[in-house]
Amino acid sequence: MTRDTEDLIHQLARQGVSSRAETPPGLSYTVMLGVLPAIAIFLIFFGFRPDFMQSLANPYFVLRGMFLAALAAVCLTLIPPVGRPGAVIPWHRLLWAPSILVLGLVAERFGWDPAMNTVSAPAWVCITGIASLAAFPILALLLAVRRQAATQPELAGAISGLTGGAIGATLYALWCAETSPGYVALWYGLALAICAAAGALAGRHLLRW
Amino acid sequence: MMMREEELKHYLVLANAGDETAYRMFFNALLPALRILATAAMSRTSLPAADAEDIVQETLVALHQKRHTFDPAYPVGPWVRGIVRHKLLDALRRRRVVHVPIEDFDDLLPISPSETRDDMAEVIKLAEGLPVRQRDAVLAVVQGFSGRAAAARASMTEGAFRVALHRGISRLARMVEG
Repeated sequence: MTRDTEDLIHQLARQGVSSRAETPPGLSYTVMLGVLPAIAIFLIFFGFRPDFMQSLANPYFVLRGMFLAALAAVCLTLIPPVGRPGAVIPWHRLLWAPSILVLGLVAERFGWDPAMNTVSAPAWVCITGIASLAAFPILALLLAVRRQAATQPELAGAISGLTGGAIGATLYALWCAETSPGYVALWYGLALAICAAAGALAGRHLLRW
Repeated sequence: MMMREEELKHYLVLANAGDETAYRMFFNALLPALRILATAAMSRTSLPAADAEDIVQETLVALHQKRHTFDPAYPVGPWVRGIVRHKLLDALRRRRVVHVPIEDFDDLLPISPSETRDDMAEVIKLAEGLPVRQRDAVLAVVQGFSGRAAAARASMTEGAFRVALHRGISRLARMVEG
């Protein structure tokens, strides 16, 4: 049995020379791969709001977009450590995203008047809309993490799901008229939770090694 | 058992650049610690000691397959430990060990950040300080023997071998920490 292991080491070392360690494509490539189909889905089925330019005058509309984009950006920075064995995952970065909301509350105190919107679509549209826009980003991220080495497959899947969900929600928010914080917290939050759960489930199978 | 962070990283960086000799050195530097770790895991979970070498080989293959995930900007110790621990728990789970005492394994693969200790030679030197039976048991494992063959090499029955090995490893761990 000693012989076996020595042979194995020789064999692996030889393989290491003939086929170099593959360098997986970078994160920006992965994001492109997932975001481009999502943008296509967005343009075909949703599109920018007809009153998009006026909506920019609504602080809640702007704030919601900023919050979701910030969440997506912060989550993306967690993807590399999640796939690197022994890495410490900087969870505290997730706290940066809600800080945008605090900024909004402060701004509101200083006279920003939130324009109230009428409900434009039932809540299930919000959930399915975000999920459909998140599907390709989540898939692309899962496939990218799969080429890394996640030692906690479920957790890595959940992070991938949350990241893809935040990307999908950022796009969806360009169309959705419902900007009241309560609505966003409840339905966007639920949609993100579903994305994270789906990612965790997929991760259990896809990210094993 | 202890090996130097810089040395190991040096080997792995060269290996990832296509240096076959460095790659073999990398594996050989890890091998004694992997064997002790796997053997200790087998004896603590009352699995056949013969499985230990299988787990060592599975771990070597995993290190090979995931070698591109090592980033030289980060220390190699946590990277190796992360993979080894993952593969060990995976192997135990597949052998239907329900309760896995993770914390027990955590310190068994020490890679010191700076101390100038050498791997194989260091284990052998440390083992010299053990009582004879424990020393023989540990050295048999380090040399890659397991199960009956290891017991025979240390001239003991399998039961006595297991006890001696377990005590030897515990004592070695204390010596390394102290």
